[in-house]
Amino acid sequence: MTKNPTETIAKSPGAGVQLEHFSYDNSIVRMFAIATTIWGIAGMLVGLIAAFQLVLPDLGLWDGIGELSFGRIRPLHTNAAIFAFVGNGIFMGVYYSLQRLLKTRMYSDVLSSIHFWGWQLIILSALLTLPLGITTGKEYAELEWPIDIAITLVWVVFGLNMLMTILKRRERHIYVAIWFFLATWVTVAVLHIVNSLEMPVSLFKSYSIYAGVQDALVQWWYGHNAVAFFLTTPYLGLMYYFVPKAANRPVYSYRLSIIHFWALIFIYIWAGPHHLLYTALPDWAQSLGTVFSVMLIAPSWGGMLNGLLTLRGAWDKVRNDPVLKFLVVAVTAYGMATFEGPMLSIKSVNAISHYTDWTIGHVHIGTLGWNGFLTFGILYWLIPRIYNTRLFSTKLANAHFWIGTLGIVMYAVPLYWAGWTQSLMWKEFDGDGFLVYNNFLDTVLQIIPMYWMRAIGGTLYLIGVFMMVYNLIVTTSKGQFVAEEAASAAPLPKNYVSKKGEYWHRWIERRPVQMLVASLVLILIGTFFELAPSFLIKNNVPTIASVQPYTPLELQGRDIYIRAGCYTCHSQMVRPFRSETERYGEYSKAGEFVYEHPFQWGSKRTGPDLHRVGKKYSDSWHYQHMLDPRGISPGSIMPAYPWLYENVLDNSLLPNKIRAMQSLGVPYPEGYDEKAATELQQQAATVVQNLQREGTLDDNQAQYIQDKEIIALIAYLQRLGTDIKAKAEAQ
Amino acid sequence: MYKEVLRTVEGITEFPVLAILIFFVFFLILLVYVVKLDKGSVRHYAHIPLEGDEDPRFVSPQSDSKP
Ligand code: HEC
Repeated sequence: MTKNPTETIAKSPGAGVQLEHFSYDNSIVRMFAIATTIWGIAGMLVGLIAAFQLVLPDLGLWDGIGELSFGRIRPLHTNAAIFAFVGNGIFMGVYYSLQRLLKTRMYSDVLSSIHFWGWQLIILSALLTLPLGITTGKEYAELEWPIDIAITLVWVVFGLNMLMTILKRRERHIYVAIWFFLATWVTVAVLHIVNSLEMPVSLFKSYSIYAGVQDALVQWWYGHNAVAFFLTTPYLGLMYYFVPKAANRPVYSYRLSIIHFWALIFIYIWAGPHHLLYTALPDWAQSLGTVFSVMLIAPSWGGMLNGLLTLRGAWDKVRNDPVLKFLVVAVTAYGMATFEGPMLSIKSVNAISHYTDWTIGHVHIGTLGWNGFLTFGILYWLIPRIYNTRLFSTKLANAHFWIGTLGIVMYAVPLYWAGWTQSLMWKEFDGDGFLVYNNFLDTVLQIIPMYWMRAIGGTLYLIGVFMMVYNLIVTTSKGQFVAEEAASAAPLPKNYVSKKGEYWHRWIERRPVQMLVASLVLILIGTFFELAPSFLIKNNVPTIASVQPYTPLELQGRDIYIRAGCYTCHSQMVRPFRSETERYGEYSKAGEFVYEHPFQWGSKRTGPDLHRVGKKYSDSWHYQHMLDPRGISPGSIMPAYPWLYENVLDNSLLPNKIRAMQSLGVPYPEGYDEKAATELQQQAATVVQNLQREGTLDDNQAQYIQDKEIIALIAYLQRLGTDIKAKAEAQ
Repeated sequence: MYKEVLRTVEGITEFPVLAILIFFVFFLILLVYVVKLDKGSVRHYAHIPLEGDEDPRFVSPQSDSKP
């Protein structure tokens, strides 16, 4: 089945017999392989910390340390897993396969190197800024604007390197894996730029230029497609290269792979709104999201079957070869996740699953199963090759496979159970029409055992990774690294005459730039339909007259809320269900969010929704609760925030913030940036008076606490969702 | 109330219908193209990853039970 290069040349029409000799760059592949492994371990470790924090919130290891609190650890985990682990995994696979599929070396070693180091610097800056609370507050896009710009630049370097390599190729046809790489590149570029548009306040602080519903729509158009075009399409490209390689047989159906590609990139982009079902997003946009999400099953499963059927007649190999085992489970996990995803986008299912741990379970089938196992399979396959040796221990790799699989099951099953259980408890009414579990905390305590099992599942999975690292290190010590792998191929004939009756796709298949443009057009069509309407109405979003901009103190409090990552546990979006209006109050309206830069609707309710928490409790309640959640709510898993009672509120940026908001259309009066500080002091004094009146503080304490961060946070929490209450009272 | 405002956007109600329509037209063209692809080229394309520089050690019969 394997041809040698000479045969290839004989097949190329008009080719001279002159072979060109060159070498593949394995160094860059090795660098990315090391990076994906190290960051993978780091990202998973951080994930484990987050998992254990949910069952042991009081553990001295993190209790009382702001940098390590859950709201900052969780974004660090997601960013590390997605952009550091999977990101470097993508680049490892792309740099290996691209050179070989195109029979040429990468266009520029310098660009490769800039790409590598640039990307690692970005990861490092994430590692530094996220624990410090430097964040945009938008999920999976938390990095602040200077890092966003760096990402854009490095991404352009990667794209340029890839495109130039394609242009100097020695194989006429661009293999389907590369289409996936190209579509990934162009789409991620668009997603990243559009979603990251923000108004800088300082070097480390910015506000999203979008507000409320619009921000939510853009964010989930981005968030969903980050899953699609960062975690899925590039890995599908890798699947189409490495599965045939490892099985040593061509892909089952190349025709199917063409359909898979175009249908997938076309449909995926439309599906974002399924993250916002039953929210204040307009109905038709929600329905469109659902329809396209369900349609996604077809191309996804076409792709999965194509991958699995590639192994037809090779199943005996799968039994012995850990590489194939990892690949098979990866592709199967892809199939499971892409079946479940559309199911979760059906409104009635989503009504149950949304905001629960079901989503977390679903996501981890994708990341641990699909991305993780595919990466491991590729590493086991690739490292021995570039070291010109054999894998040290097949047995150990098999053991890794089994402990990893067990880890995934132990991770996901308890979370499905937890999500299901908690959701039913949220919705359970007694005979008299009252909520049975009126206290949200009861539903949390119920699922703590499941959280324990999840943490153990994650630990098993990570142990497997350590086994792999050991195995691979010993492998490399037995072999000799081949930095430059010799290869030869005939150049493409200069004047290619296309055959009569060639179709447009054949034409496009040979032209990477046109392919890039075609992919871009496709995803822009979906983007237009999804986003355009909400932009057309930008200036006449139904404003509710009583909805007013935040006061300076509340604005500062809100920035503390964002910095602390409260949105990782709390939603601010009451859906129009009786079970929710009963528990939280009036459901959320689009017009209430017009000044929310960025929106803070959240996606997970580890704690209760906070949109209507304003005025629900006294200032003292919040004062005590933030200091010692378990003192107020025994068994709560919310972290304590003692540093808010020590940190002096930094008002130096306040005028900038007000001006930034003004420029985004928030109607603060002219010259308000000058007065804001004074108003802030006045409101802070009122909050402190309340605390004194309620007997929480004596005079000395009041004096001390007046300028601390907690006061701003309390002011913000007490404002939440009250504007429309004010209207009701006025009437 | 949001819907009321959206209705004032020209042609908003046709958006979903138009969206599905665009998709199906696109899909049909794709299908026709794929069916019409000639066998020889498809075979060649599918074999691209397997061409070239294989180290004999890894493609020997033993490779079936290799790591
Ligand atoms: C690890 C998840 C987690 C994080 C992070 C978290 N919370 Fe909570 N929160 C909870 C849980 C669980 C409860 C319910 C039990 C309780 O009252 O403590 C809760 C309850 C609350 C309540 C009471 C709501 C009600 O209606 O009773 C408020 C207010 C609150 N949290 C504010 C915050 C703020 C502000 C932050 C960020 C500084 C924050 N939380 C971060 C988990 C979290």
